[in-house]
Amino acid sequence: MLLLRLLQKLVRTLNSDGTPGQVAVGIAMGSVLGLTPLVNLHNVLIIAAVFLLNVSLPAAMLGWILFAPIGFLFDPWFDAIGRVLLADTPGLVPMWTALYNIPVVPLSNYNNTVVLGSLIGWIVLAAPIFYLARWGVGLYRTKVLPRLLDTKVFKLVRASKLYNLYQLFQTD
Amino acid sequence: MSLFRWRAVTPLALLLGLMVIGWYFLLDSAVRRTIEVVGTDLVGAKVDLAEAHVRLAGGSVVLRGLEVTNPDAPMTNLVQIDEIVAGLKLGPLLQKKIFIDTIAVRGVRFGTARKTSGAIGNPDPRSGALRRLISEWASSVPVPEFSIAGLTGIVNVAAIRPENLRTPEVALRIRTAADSVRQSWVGQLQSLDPAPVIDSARALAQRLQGASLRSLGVLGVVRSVQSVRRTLDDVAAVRNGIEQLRQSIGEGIQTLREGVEGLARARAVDLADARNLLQIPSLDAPDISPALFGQVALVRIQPLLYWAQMAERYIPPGLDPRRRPGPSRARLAGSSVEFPKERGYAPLTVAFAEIDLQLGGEGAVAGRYRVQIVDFSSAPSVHGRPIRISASRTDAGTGPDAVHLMVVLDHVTSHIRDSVNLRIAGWQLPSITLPGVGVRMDLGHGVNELTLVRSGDSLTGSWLWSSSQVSWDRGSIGSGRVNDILWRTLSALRTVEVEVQIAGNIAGPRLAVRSNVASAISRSLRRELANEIVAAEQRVRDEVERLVAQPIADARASVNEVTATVQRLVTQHQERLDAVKVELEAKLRELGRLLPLPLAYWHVVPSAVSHVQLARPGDPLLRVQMAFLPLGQPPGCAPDGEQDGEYLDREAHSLVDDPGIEINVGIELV
Repeated sequence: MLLLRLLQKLVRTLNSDGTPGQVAVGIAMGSVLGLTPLVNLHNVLIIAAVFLLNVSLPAAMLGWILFAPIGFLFDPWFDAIGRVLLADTPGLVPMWTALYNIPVVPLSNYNNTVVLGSLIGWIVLAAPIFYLARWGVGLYRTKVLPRLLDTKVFKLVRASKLYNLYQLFQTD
Repeated sequence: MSLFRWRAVTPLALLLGLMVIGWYFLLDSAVRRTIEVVGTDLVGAKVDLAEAHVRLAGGSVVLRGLEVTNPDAPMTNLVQIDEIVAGLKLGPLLQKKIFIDTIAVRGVRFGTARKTSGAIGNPDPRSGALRRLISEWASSVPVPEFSIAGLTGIVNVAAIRPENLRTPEVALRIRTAADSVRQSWVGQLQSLDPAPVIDSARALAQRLQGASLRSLGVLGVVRSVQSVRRTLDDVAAVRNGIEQLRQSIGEGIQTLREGVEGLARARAVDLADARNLLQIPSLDAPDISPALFGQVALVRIQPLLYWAQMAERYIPPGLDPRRRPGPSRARLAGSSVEFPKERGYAPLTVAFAEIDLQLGGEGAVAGRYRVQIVDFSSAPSVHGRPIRISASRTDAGTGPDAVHLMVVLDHVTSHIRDSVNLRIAGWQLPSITLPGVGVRMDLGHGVNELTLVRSGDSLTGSWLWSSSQVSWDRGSIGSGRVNDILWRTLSALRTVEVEVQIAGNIAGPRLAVRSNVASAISRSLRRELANEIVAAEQRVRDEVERLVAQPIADARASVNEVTATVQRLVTQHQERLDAVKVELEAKLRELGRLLPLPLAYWHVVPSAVSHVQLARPGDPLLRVQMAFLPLGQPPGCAPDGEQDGEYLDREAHSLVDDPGIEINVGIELV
């Protein structure tokens, strides 16, 4: 039932709830949860930010779900990026050393190659994800959704018992 | 539209509160699990912990029921500890560092039995790797055998076969190498044959015999000078080639001679092998000691090497960033890099630990001990102080009378300096069956002294067992004259000292064993069996000499012959070239005298530019009226000839090639 509600919220978010910008920020923030190893301090901060800022929560969930497999897939590259930055660039060692000896910072596990590499990867990808998502949501709402609503298949689905069941779990 | 979603603050705070409460209740379990997982990974066998109580408010950790399995004996614990109480500093925890002010350890026992096996299914191939390396080193150390069989029977030298000897093979290799290099060098000398150049030079000299300015003309003299110079260049080129080959030949001959010198070593090895083959023991005490105690020494030294290298691995020196595998998770673990810094916190520091150690039972080391550890740190370079460990005995019910241990692990800088001093007095030393003899030696109560110093990668030390309460058992010693001599000698010994000396690199140190037992055996056998031993050794020596003398002589002759042949050829070539060079130079001087100097050296022209690039003269002397001479000095290497080195219209007045002053002395008739 929880999944169904989540699906409903997601559909509603895509269709009408929030501005395309809110949805896009939600997806971009949710993507960090998927791209980087989950149990880390920066993800706690991101989750708190998703809750506290007026961004789309379902979109953040969508971002997480969409980008988790990509995170797994990109891990070898993230590891390589992290290795270059942490171990193979002597010029950065003083900075890492200073960070490593500041309270709380080491708890972020930034000194792990995959964590740092994936975080850098997300920072690089965040802006493209945001703009792509905003453009996609806009396109969906203006072009795709009206056509979808007009299709016979969708009309059949709306007339079916399954849709009635779906409607039963609508929160409002 | 508001930027913040204020209504989310309360649920978020509640969620955070729940997480903190959950973490507080799960912390003990997480710490216990972490210690078990990390410990198992380190040891390569199960590490079990019954309880862990973490009280962050009070800054204390209590661990109970720690069992560390012996990886070599999964049903036995390497160590079992009843209780560990540690006082923590909370600040360093925010940096993921553990700083323990004080730690008290109670109820430490070694070698206790386990209820279940502590073996792990798929041990990490890295764990136990060090143990395997040390074991391989121990297997590679040759321990000689002591056998008296050769002294009791007839020496049959027919068993010494030429194909089993190393010297003929080495000699053959040297001869083959000598033949091969001789062919190569002679071929190269032939390719540098100076005959064409010499013939051409001689023909030119012949042509210029009696030449004069009138017969050749000015242009003809100039051309002749050019021809002579070209021929001299050719001669010099061939001579340089031969000189280079001579140097290369010199190095090759040196290598061959070193090979010939190596034959003496091969012969010594053959002699030793032949003695072993015929089981004629060396009766030198330095050879007998390793045979009697080498194996025992290896067994005792291996744990020392293991712990010395473990100390380096887990307490690494220096401040360089350190990489270790990342945490295990569903995603790629990656590597975690530590960035230590001076005067910071090490990942683990124990400022002071006191351990009450109780070794139960009636064993050799049973009793109570007090161990103090000061400034223990997993990164001493960060902590800035070496680790000091001391131990002494507090209760002497059973076991040794006195134990003093002092260990200093100085890993503060990248140059490791470790030292171990251990003295155990009144200790039940082990019983040893002497290999090759069969007699059992019970050392009784004695002194065990260990001194070990590591500086960088070099290791020196000694391990001494001494006892004056030795008793002997015939064990498996047989009968016969030699065995009787051995038994009489050994059973008369009451005081025994066995000393193992360690030196060399920590990865594979050399061991030397010394014992008065070996000296006594050597003396008595030499005294009683002198004639038999001398005769047997002489027969072996004669047989080996007979088999290797000819190959050695052949190899030596081959190298001498190559050396003589090649050096003779080189010298001949060089002498012929030198002679023709002298002849041509004389001819050049003669031609030079036929022409006025500028014509003879028409090809010498001044350099168009200075060879030193200066931005300006060294001393510009601006506004100085009377110092034009320094200003006129050219900045390059212009020779200081007439007209102050300023050449015009190819008018060179400076001297070139063999400069000098020619003074003609004579009487002018008036």
